[in-house]
Amino acid sequence: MATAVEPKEIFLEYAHRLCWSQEYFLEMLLEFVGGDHDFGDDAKAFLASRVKDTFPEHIAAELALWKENSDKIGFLIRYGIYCELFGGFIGQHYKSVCDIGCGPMPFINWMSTDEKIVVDPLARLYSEMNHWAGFWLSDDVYMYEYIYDLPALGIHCALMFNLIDHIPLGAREAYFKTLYDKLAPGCIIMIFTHLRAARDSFHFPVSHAEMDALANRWFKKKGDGVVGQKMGYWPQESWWGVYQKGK
Amino acid sequence: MVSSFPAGKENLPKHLAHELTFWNNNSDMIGNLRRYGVYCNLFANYVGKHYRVIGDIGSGPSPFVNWMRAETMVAVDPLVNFYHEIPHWSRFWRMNDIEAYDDVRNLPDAYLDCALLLNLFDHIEPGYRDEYFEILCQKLFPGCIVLVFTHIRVKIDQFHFPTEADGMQALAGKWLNRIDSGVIGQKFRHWSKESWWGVYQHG
Repeated sequence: MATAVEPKEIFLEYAHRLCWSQEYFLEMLLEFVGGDHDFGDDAKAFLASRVKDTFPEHIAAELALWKENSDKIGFLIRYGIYCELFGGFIGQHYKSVCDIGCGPMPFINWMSTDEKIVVDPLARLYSEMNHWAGFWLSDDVYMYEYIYDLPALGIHCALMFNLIDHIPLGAREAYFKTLYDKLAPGCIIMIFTHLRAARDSFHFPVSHAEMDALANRWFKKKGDGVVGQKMGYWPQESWWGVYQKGK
Repeated sequence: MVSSFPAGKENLPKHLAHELTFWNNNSDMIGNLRRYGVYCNLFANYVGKHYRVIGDIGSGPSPFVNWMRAETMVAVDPLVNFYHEIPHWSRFWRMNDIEAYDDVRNLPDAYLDCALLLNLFDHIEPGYRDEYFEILCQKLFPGCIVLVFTHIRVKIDQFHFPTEADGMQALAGKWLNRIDSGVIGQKFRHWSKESWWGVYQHG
């Protein structure tokens, strides 16, 4: 017997795959199916209420983790490792920096830039959590849920730290395609991801070969490498790369 | 805020005035983050624990205590009043509800159960260090964990004084019980060739 799939799950899956916010996807959906038929405000409000503040399963699992976990030293150790790996690229001043998949304690807080941008489906919720709110105090940070909503060609440095293994396998090509359009020519892209063979509640598998192919298809490589396990709970290996969008 | 200095930077001793100018002109937060990564590695067994009251003595403009777990966070620095007001450092003082003191003498007695002395002693005149330890020990709760890190310097500059590993080891050992200590080589270009670190316990 076939298992019934909730329309809400289909909706969320597609919104996420397209890197669209749920509100934007809903708007597009209503426009598409509406045609010459007016659904009426009540129907729209009902549909909106069904998807408001709901997330795909893996994002909801991540939200649950950070509600409970307040280990700030863990982030500090991780950030020390990023500083070692990305050396001079981290210390430069940029016109705009975008911290994509910034998590509850954005790395961008440490960078020198005229414009700070963060992207994370959970950004707003992190900024409201008692134990993480202190790291969101800058009122000069532009906050987005999904990269699709970013202004085109507006980013001069993109950080993708610990991001790729949070994106479902089938969504990564679309993610890079969308991202490419948002980056200014010459933009520096720094990527770090754990290499994982197995899936867990909010991580998806990532291989060295996949990262190499994916990043090189869209950007020009300036350097990359693999580092061994640095902290007790990390996977055995992690991959890092510095890339640049063509000028 | 409990203050020992008359208000206004014109009243600061010369070396503190130089340090204030330095941080006013310097917004290199990545430099501080790199330093914190080194502290995390050196003191891995201690920085992740939960404490009752942690004192970050000589906290500088971005107190390390912000990333630790404690019921009460305390920062002590003669420039603490000024760091609050420097735009590029001020947000590090709003992350948590930090108790700020500009002089270690103003801390309540037997207050701290963890004390961070990170990058502190090369900012204190050598002739005053023994007295500093004596005052500090009055502020430590019995069993307090004390984490010490200092660059080894042979020369004096605008706001640093000479320090040496054996001297630091002897001085800390006079006032506290040693758990562990060591010397590490230069980690970053602007650091001195060697730095000394120690984990100590009070009483």
